Amino acid sequence: MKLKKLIKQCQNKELKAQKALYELYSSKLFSLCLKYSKNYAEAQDNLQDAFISIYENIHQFKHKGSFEGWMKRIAINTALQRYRNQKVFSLNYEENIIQPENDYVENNISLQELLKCIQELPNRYRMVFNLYVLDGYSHKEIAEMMEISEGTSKSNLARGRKILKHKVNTILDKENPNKTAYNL
Amino acid sequence: MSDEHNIDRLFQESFKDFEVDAPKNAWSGIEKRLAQKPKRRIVPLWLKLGGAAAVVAILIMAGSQWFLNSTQLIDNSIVDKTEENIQNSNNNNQTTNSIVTTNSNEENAQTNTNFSSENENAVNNSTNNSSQNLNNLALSNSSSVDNISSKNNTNKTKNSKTNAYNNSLFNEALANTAEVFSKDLIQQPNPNIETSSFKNPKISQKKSLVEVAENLKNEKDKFEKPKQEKNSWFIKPQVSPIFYGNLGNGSAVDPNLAQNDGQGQVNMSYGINVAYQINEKIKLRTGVNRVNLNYTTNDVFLVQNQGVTTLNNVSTNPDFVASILNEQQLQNLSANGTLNRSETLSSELQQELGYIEIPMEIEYNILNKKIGVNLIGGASTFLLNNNNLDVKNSNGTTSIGEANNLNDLSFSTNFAIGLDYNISKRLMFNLEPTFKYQFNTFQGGTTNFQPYFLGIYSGVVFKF
Repeated sequence: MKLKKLIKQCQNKELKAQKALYELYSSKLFSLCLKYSKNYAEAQDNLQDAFISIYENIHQFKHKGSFEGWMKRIAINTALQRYRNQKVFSLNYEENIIQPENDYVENNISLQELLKCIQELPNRYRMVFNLYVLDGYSHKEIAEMMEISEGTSKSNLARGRKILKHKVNTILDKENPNKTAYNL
Repeated sequence: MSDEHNIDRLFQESFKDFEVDAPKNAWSGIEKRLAQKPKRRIVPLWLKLGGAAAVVAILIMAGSQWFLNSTQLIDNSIVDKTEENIQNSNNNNQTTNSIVTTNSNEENAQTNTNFSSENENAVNNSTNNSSQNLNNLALSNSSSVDNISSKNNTNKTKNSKTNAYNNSLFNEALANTAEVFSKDLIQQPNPNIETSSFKNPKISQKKSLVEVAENLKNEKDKFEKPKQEKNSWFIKPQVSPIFYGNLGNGSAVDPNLAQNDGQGQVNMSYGINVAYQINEKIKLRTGVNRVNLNYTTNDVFLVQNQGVTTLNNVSTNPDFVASILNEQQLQNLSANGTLNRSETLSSELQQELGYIEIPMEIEYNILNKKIGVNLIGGASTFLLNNNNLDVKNSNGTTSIGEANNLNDLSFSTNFAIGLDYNISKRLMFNLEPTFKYQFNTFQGGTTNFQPYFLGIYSGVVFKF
């Protein structure tokens, strides 16, 4: 009920309510922006753009679904718009490196290192990987959102994964130079 | 396959509870932009209103020029004033633009000064937050340092968002290229690379960076105003009964019939109306209507075999051999003793006019719910396409001829209240009681007849 009232006040463009909404959701949306952006500064830009969009379009929210989900979708759209129509720049990637099967989860790799891995992905690979793996969108949905074909979405995901695997392995190698068994 | 699952799982597990506090200065940036919004909206509304006013002014000027054709009077002061207004609105526009630019300068400058301290904050924050292990989050990304400096440079030259995008995109291109060279990656393109993703060679991709930035801006604009761009055209086939009347006194046909009773008949008008929505409140509309008008003059007498007394403003058909007289004229004639009553027939005169109407109107919305209410004002141009005069009596209807004092081109000023009932998103029912005052209908000095008409237009509006 409290949220409903807050949304109503935001629809009436009350600054206090807008700030309260920001305080309630900014960390959630900023985390999302960090994953979809290539660095901290861009994530901040996306966060600001997303909130402006949210305030401008909040009258369209009809309480039919989750409000948080609706806001996340706007934040993702904001990030996607930054890169829509843009081709992937980096053509070269670690195609031929043999990737052994690893149970990565058991390895100790820090969250900020993983975030850095995602942020360093070429833009479209990063978007597709985030959308598919971390936010649970289907290839069909991704294709519509990014205005690409489903096939492209799938191949982008595969390439994104491959780069990530390589990066993760490199980090693990550095941390445990003795455990060369990972790259056998 | 399971390897894919492993890498997915690693990231899914790690980011499951991922949450980072937003930068502390982010809200102030948002707040500033929120405060700027109303300013931005006022400018285009002003300009659009000005534009609409200019259209009406031009119409009225064109109308008055026709109207005053005989005296060749052109009111120069109107022209001067219009020009002055246009200049004024230009000046206003410039001033506002410059204000906006200054604001964004300040904002950007502030963002930059805040930024370095922000990084420190981020470091401090994240050290406190050891459970999430976020040390040096911001600084860990080397490219972010490049971006800070590049952003500063951008601010020195230009501060528009497009340039910021442009620059960051270009930086990214450079960074990616550098990455390719620095990392000793395999340079041979893999034969398995899906060509559809990389149709264009690299050079053309770099060339198109400006285009990309423009596209991004356009898309951003689109995203910001999705509601206004939807449903901006409206088409309405419409029909209305027309009640024709006279605000002056006198007869349009002959000054001798000025004292006779007369009344307008109810006729139909039908046509199509097209409207364009320029903002939430205002629509500009035009269209084309067929209008039939009928006016009857009572108590006239058809007198045969007394020679032909032609009506003042009528070109009589050659085969019409009779006189139309008022009661006074008839009495004068019978006093002379020359009148044979059997050759006199009590009649009524019926003037039929047909026009093609082209309206130019502004519609201002005052209520936009399930039922919408609009105020409408504007002007119409009328092209004469039917002109006939009949005499009606117990013998039937006979055509006398046509009025010769009608202008081919006439105008009206229009006022209406529009009521809309929204049936669906794309469909609404519309009812519009309308008043139109017609001028320049008759050639100057021929009559005191001042026609007006009332209509109740109804139609179904299609939005698209």
